[in-house]
Amino acid sequence: MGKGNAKTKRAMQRAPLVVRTTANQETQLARVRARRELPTQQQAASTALTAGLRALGLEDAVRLYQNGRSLEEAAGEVGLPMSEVFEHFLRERIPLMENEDALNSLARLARRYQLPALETAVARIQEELVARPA
Amino acid sequence: MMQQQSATATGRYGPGALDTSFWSAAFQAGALGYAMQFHELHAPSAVEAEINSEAPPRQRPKAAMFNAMRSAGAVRITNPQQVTVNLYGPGDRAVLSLGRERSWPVLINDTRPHAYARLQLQLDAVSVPELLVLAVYAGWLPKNEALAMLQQIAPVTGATLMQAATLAITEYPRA
Repeated sequence: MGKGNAKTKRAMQRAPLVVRTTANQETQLARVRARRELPTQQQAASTALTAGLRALGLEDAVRLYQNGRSLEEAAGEVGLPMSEVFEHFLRERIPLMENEDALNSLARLARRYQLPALETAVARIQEELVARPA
Repeated sequence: MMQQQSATATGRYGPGALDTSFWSAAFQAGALGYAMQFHELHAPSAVEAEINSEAPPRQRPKAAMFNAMRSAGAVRITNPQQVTVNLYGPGDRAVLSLGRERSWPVLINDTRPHAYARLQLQLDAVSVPELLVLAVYAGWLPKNEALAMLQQIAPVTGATLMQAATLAITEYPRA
């Protein structure tokens, strides 16, 4: 091996590594990056779609329930767990049929156990439900 | 008002007729202590048999608690003189008959017998969600804890009783 060759080797070891890319390589790199980001975008789109379908399902479940199906039947027809449909009813304060009866029971107990604050609370809820019938 | 009374008194509202559904759900929710503070618990033999459904000496946790409370005198066995209600299971029939005979409130968690007690027999009926509401408004049980306890019994409790109780607990002004 010649002297010059050894010199070049030493110079290369000292020099910082610079990767030069051509315009064509840049385009290829951009494509690779885009391919990497694609699954994330697809995932986000799929999550949004699922959430949207779920929201539509919950709305349908409410409509079915209000048209006489039981909570369980309504959940079954829209393909959502009953617990999720029930949570939705609670969150949105959608009154269940026979709720009036359950609230009357609470009002009766409030009187029996002498809890005036509970009686007031039940009256307030009943007023709210009358204002927003099923 | 009850909030001003001692929190250590038990059965301050007299006797109550205890059903299997109530015992199981109250045990599951961790709410038996509140039930005992409100009422002396009287269970008919049919209820005792339903709770102790495993062949001896096996006892499920809820049965072990029942048997321990019975030995300590905190739960008594009281039968109706006559079973006058012919609906539902043997435990429900005995409890509803006992409540009717003695004008006692019935502690019952199944929606239909609960409604039957109130609407047909004109008795006070307490479900476990309602018990939790009472405990919150008595100032004994923090609201968030009550909501968490309510979740424990969602699978075994009717949706209307659950929703009414959730709304009432949420409406309670303090945390």
